[in-house]
This record gives sequence, structure tokens and C-alpha cells, in this order.
Amino acid sequence: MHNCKKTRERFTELLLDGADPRAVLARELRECAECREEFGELSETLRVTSRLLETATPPESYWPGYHARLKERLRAAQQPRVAPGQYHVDNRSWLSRFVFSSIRVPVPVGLALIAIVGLAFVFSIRVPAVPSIVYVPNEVPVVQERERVVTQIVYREQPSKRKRSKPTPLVPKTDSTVATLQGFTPAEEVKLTVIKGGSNEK
Amino acid sequence: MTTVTDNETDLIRRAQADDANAFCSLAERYARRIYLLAFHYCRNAQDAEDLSQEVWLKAYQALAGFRAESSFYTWLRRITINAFLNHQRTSASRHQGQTTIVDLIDSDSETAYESRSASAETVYTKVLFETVMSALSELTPSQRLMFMLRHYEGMSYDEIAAAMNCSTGTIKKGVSRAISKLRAKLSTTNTDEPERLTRLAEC
Repeated sequence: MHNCKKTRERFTELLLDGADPRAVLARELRECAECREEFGELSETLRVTSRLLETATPPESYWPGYHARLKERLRAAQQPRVAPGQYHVDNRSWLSRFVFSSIRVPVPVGLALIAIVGLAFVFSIRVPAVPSIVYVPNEVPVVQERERVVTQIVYREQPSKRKRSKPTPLVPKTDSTVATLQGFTPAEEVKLTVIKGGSNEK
Repeated sequence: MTTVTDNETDLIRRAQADDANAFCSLAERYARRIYLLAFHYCRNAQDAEDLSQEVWLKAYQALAGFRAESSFYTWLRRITINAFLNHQRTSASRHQGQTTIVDLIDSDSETAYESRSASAETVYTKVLFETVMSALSELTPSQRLMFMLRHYEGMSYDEIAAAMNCSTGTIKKGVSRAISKLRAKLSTTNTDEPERLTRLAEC
């Protein structure tokens, strides 16, 4: 089964490798006109670009000048290097070499040293001593929650059987108030209020 | 072949010992290939010379690190590709004016090509050159480099991917796009008619 895409990929690779795809893909190229046309255009493109190599190659007369300029550049690049025969041994001590060397070396080194010493001094003054850790026991009373239940019974006067009397304010039933609750009956609903909180101290 | 290799090994050894003449002898062997790669990459004779000589300077500086694990040219080509990629980064905003081969052919300067007779072939060569250079200018620098390495240098996709530090798929796509662009550009000009082009040039 002929596959145009695969055939084109194959002959492109063969052409780029410098091989002749007509030997390998003869049947595909014979049977498919589009692939044949594609092959023709592609091989022509690559042939023309290859010819550029020949065209762009400078003539022989160009190369002596090219190599002379390259030598010049190599020589210039070599200059910073110290040739073995040119090496000069400096017998002075490191201190005298340092002191009498170019100003570019000792001045920045001296400035850097001053800066380091100054910074060290400033930090030694400003930074406090590291505090030691002291453990002090501190007793804190623990508050325990307790539930307190307050029962409140509400009494209500029955209006039909008894004669009207002055309305009595609703008060919780205690020993002192029992006497005053004559003629009242407890209401059907008993209201319970749960108050959370409080402490043992109370 | 053995003699050449031995001779090359000797030249490399001497160049590694700071023998500039030995290094220049090495450069003479491969200067044309490196120059042509640079020329296709830059499309400019002066830039090609500068770039190719920059490659040789870098090679000279890095020669001490050459361990002969690959051929000298493979090692040199790696330096060339790196130099091209660096050139691509640094010269993104440089001038676009180009000295073409037509200028070189027509000029009488020392570095230019020698004058040739204005034969039909010369005119055809000029037109062909201009056409291909124009087609190459349609490619991005990366596509141009991928195409050059695949087509002119015969490197495999894997080798190019390793040298350019990207995936093989990227290289395949780049080469394919480069070929498509070149085809589209070159198909508009029928370059296989030297006589017709000569007549046009003489008009």
C-alpha cells in the first residue's frame, strides 16, 4: 500500500544522506505522480543548494591572506600568555611585592580589610549577648467547667374558681414565698435553664 | 591515510605545546570547510572570515583540552557550532547589510574573489548564488544551522541534537521546515536555465 507521506519522508532522508532514492523507491516513484513531482522538486532544491558550496568557495589566491590574518590574530591572542623563556622570577618578599605593586592591588585590598574590621566592630557593639533560657514554674489555676441547673417553676393564677386578687409578681419558689403562692397552681410547662460555666471558687 | 592521521596527531601535539606554526598547519587543512560553514551561516564574506577566525582562536585556546576521543574535525565542528550559536545571540541586533558573492566577484579587493570573465556560466553562477542566498535568508539562523549540518556536513539528527543541545524531534522539524522554505523560494525561480538567465543579465 503506497503511503505518500512515508515515501516523501524516506526520499528526503535518502537525498540528505547523499543517496539516490530512485534505486530504493523505484516502484513508489513510478506509481505515484505526486511523489514523483515532489521528488523532482526536492532533489533540484538540494542540488542547487549543494552547488552553492562550490560557488561560495573562495579562490586559492584568497587563502594566503586569510592565513596571514589568522596568524596575526593568534599572535595577538598569545601576547598575554607568558612564554616559558620570558618568565621573570621575582625574589622580593610577598610583603615588599605587595607594597610596591601597582596601586590597583593594595588599595582595594586595604579598603576591603578596613571595611571588614569596621563591620566586625559595629556588630560586636550592637549585637546583645545571647540571652540564657531560664525555666520558672508558674502555677495557673485550672478552671473546671461545671453545669449548674436552675429550676424555675412558674406559678399562674387560675381565674375561674377564685376571686380576683391582685396579680402577684412571678418569683421563684422559696420557703419565704410559699405562703404567698396560695391560690396559684404550677403552669403546665416547667422551664429549665441550664447555665454553663462558673468555677469551683464560687 | 595513516600518515595523514599520524601527521595530524603530531601537529596537534605540537600545537598543544604552544607551537603556533603547527596550529596554523592544522588550520590550513580545515579552514575551507569552516569558512564555508561560516559563510552559509552568515551569508556575508566579511562576517564569514571573522566568524571562522574566531572559531580558530577558540580552538587554539581550547586545544589543551582536546583528548583525541573523537576526530579533530568532530571536535572542531563542535567548537564551530558553539561559536555560531554565540554569534547568533550576540549579533541579533547587528546590521542587516550583506556583502554578497556578487560584490566579491565584482570587487578588485585583495580578499575578494578574482575577477572572472563575464561568461554565461559566470552570470548564471551569480544569479544562482543570489537566488540561493536569498532563499537561505528566509530561514532562521537555527534552521540554517540545522540544514547546513544535515545537508552539507552529513551529520545525523542525533548528532546535531547533541551539538545544539536540543531534542532530535526539534532538529527533524527544523530541517523539514528549512527544506520546505527553500523549495518554496527556489521553485519560484527556475534556476536550471543558464542561457535564459544570461540573456536576462546581458539585457
